Amino acid sequence: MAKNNSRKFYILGGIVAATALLVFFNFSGWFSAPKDFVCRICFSVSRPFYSLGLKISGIFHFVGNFKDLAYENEQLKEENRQLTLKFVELREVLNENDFLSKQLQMLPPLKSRLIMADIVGFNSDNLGQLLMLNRGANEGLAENQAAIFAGGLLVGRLIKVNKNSSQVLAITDSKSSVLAVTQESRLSGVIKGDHSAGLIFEVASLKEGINEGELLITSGLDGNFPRGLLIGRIESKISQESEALHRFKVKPALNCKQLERVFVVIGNN
Amino acid sequence: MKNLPAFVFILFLAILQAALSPHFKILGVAPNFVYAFVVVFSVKKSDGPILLEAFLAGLILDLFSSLPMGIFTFLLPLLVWLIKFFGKNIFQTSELFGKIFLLAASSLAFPLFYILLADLLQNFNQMPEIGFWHDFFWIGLLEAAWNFLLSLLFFIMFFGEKKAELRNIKNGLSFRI
Repeated sequence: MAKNNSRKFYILGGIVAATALLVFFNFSGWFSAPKDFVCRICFSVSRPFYSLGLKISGIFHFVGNFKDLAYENEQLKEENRQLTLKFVELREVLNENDFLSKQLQMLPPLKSRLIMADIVGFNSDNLGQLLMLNRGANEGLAENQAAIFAGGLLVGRLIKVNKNSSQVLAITDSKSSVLAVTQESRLSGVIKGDHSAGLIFEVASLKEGINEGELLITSGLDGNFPRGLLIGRIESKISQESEALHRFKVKPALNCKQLERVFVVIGNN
Repeated sequence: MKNLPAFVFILFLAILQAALSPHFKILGVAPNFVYAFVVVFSVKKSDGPILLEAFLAGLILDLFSSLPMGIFTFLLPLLVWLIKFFGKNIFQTSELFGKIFLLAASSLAFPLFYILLADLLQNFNQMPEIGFWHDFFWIGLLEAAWNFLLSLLFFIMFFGEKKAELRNIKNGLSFRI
């Protein structure tokens, strides 16, 4: 009996030692090759399960929101009309901008390359919001590159890149912070994740008021994200007037959990 | 080699955990399949090495986790060892109730320990900003509840809890399995 107990202590001691070694190997980077190998196997299997989960949750979402669909449809039609008008207006501005750029012989904006990557899962714990991608350094991905959704919606930035897989820190993660600017009032501030519940926009000085419903885009000043990516829409002010920092609740432009794939922006800098 | 089916099943559960569970979060929190299986396995299995399975399960969880490497690899074997220890020394007479109590206690201990460890290690690179009490009350307690329910489900599903034993719970009897 005593022999059996001491054997278990040895096993537990061995496991603690192995864990310490693992932590050391991981920090020194020696663990990345086996990690990449296991991730590659797991991600090739997890893709169909991820799609299945997306479909099932889509059905639940559809059933849950059935009543609101007619109203939402009308709203979207109206929004579509407004956007079409805006598009025509912007097209004119773009043409004019091109013409003026040529006149001034300005350099054309830097061309970025987009790499498409499938989302194959999320992090296994409930604390953060990481998206697992099936593309890695072999395809040109690197840390701190921006992950976007079609149409220029910001998803997050790459924080870990293995050879064939990578992890994106979603903008809704509490560790995430992005320099942003309001589209109409042009106020700069920082967008932070709010424990996966949404986003918070922090502004130091508020010379002009920020309108509810105003769009927030990336300012591009942090160097990680291209300028002009859509982040979300201002919902309401949550800070008191007496507070030095003005904080606004922001509704994200997209729900990361409903995405199947993202694009990684390469060569922004 | 005889543990290979358990390893494969743990790997499969880890894949499900990463791919499926985010879509079915309840109040923003998902249960942990890998944890539930390992804990039920250790509660039900009276002999033989489970520490190795727990170690590998923790390693796989760490691969898909947003926390620093090593937290789950350390925590799961420790929990299994504690379950074995308490299961042998304290809950011998009323075993079935004891096992359910162990499932409940470990379900609470799991998020408590991993949030605490993450809090202690939060100065290291790339991990969520954690306020221990905030995260434990808003995430940890909910996770503990879902994990306990999932563990009970696994307890009945995978390990064939006999009907007679369940009947005895209803009758308020306690006995050795």
